[in-house]
Amino acid sequence: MATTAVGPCHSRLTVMTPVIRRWLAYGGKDSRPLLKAVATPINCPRRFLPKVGGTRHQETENQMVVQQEEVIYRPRQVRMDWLGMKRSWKYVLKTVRSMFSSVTENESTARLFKKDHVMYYFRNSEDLSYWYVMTDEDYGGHSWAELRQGLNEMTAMFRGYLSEKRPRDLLPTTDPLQPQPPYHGMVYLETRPFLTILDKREYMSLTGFNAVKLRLRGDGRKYDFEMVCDCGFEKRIAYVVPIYTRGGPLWQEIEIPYVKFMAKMEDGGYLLVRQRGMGYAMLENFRFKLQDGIEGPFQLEIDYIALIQNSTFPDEGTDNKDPWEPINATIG
Amino acid sequence: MAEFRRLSYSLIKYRCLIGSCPLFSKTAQTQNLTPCLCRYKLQRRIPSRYVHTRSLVLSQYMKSQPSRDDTEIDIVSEEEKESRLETVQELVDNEEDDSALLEFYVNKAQNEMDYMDDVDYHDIENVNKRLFFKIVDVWLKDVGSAKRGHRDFVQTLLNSLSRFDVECDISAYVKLLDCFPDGKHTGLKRDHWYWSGFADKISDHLLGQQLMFVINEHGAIPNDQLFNKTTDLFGRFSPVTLKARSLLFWYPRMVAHSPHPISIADFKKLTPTELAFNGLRQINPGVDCHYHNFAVDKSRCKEVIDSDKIDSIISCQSEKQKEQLAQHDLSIPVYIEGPFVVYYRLKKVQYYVMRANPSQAKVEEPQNQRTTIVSDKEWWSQFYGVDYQTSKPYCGKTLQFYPEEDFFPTVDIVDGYGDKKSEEISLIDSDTQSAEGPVYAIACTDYSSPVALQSWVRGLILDNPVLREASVVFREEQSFMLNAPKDDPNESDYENIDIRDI
Repeated sequence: MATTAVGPCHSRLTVMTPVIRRWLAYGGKDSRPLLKAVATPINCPRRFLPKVGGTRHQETENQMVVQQEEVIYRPRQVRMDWLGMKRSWKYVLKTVRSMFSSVTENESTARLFKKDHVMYYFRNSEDLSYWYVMTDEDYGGHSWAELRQGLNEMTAMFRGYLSEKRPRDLLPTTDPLQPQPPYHGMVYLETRPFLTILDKREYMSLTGFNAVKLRLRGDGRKYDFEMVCDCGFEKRIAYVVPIYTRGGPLWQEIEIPYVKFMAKMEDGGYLLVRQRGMGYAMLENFRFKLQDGIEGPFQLEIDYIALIQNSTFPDEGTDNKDPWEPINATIG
Repeated sequence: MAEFRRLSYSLIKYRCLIGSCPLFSKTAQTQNLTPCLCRYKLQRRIPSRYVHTRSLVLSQYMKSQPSRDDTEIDIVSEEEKESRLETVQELVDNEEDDSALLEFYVNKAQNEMDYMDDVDYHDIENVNKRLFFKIVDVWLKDVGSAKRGHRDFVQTLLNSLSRFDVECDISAYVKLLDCFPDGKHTGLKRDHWYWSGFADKISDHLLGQQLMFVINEHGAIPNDQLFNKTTDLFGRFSPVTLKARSLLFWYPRMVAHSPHPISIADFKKLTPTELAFNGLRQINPGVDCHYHNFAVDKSRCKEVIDSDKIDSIISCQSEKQKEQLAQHDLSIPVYIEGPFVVYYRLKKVQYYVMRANPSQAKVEEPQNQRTTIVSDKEWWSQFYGVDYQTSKPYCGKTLQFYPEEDFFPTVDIVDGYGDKKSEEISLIDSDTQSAEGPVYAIACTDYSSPVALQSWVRGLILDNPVLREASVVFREEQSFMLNAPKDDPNESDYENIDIRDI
């Protein structure tokens, strides 16, 4: 057999197939394995079958047997975006239903016809199941707290004892050349998350309103009211406002505009240097936290938590935004 | 020649000991120093942590020698000298006692306080505060411009600020910043946006951060002097200046959320009566409240209380509460409930409440029903907007000639939806009124006997003559805040048993 193929072959082969070229270059051998025909399924249409090209015997001067390359047709793997289709079908159903229902039944438009919206109130003992209590006992603290119905049987009472006694692994140092490790007793009352099928989280929304209204009766202590928003990638930012309760027999009504809330990381205790706007539609939970450093009993009665629209409050504010922050972070 | 040079070097090295070495003087014998030990002590390898003790020992030795150039020689007995050195020697030998540094400078500052300090610290009245500033000045004079050992000194003072009553004073923290070495070549300043990332002296910046943390914890009010000093010391791109900036930025914003803010420094100066007044103002808000301080009849009251507590009874009543008490039904008694407790900043205030029961409270009749009256003076003035007798025009819908003065102007904003908006809060707002009666007055006292409450009622009779005829009943209540258990009552003892405790 000819081992050299120099220049164009003026033979009966009009088309120089790549197999021939490779075969000739490797000295009559092809290192690639030849692809064989695939077994055909029974009910498959003929056009989807893999085309197996038969061996074409073509006469050449040297009587070479040439095998044409096999063209293989694989059935196309169609991937259906079922999740996307489900979401879009949900959206379609929502829009169709909103067309045939009244304005107040739609979530987004119902709030336009509401002056205020009550989120939580405690007229029944079953309403307490939406909240839970956490203390510093989880990391060695000695304070306790409980949530029960108030004496009126119409409100929720969050009471207990906050102790500044340090846990065993955070005792103060006797070495005057070392700083004291920081510790304060902590107690908080938090709403349970809304979970639907397969533990999917659902969020509350603050849209349509301007401020949060609380009616409560404390003991003169400073409580932190927090709203935790989910920013994605398991990152949560808590928007905090300190509530200085009056105490006493009289009820206290507080109106806090959204603009006054201060952003801080939920895990850390420091406020963010770069304050960012609140995600109104991704609210996870409310929280009442006590960490003022005073050892003693505490008592907080909550009547309701509501959202209101007050036109004298601003919608966009620059109260908590430092104008020097972009300069201090770059050129200084 | 070489031997002479060696001798002269040794003399220069140990020139401070020439007087105390046994070869040259007798004083070394009285100081219990043996020649072999004195040399070893100087050559002992002392870690940098104890640099202050080394300078301490040397300075003490230098002081014990009378300087011949001085005309005034302090006549100090040898016994006193020995006692001073012994105490210092003990502390130096006990390496575990790191409080030697602070104690030494406290004693030194106390000994050096003289009439010039009254001029330097004329604005500081507290003696402990003056001592704090004197200690820092003494250290700065001892140490010199290098300020060696500043980290230990600053850390010990930060841990013992409460000892000098100086934790709420920002000038003390600003003074501590003077202890850091400042200059062009210290390597402390971070003034470039890029090269500050590769900077050294991390422990100094960490100590500065610790300082800022302590300021926030104790509630000292930051000022511009603090921020300017930190930037001059640590530079613009250090975490210390960032924390100082955040303190300056957030302090007024946090304070704005409280209705009656008061700093901890001012809170500590309050007398018991001022404390009670502020507590009552917190409980019973209103600009038009009447405050009275009634004396308690001590001949009848046999209860003894401390001098720090409130001897009299302080009462607070607003105008609205007065009107409600005037409309009280005399067939029903007035109740005084208590004692209750409220927190005012860091301290507790005990108070009593005068109120009536809810079911027996008077309900106001609605005034909008006008079914029988066809024409009336009020109807005329409302219809025509003009006074019946004088035909003077009224101001708007109110039956008044002149408008009410408001602090802020009222704004009427009209929405496009009008009356279609639904309300939810008004449906649940008045539920608690049916369970709790109206409050008539609140009083504050540390007495628990009813004699004090009698003097309160006697004092209120002048403004509220209803109390002369109504019967007042004292209802003692067990409040949770006074009798709160420290351990959780909901948990059983059998769950918390630890095997290691048995």
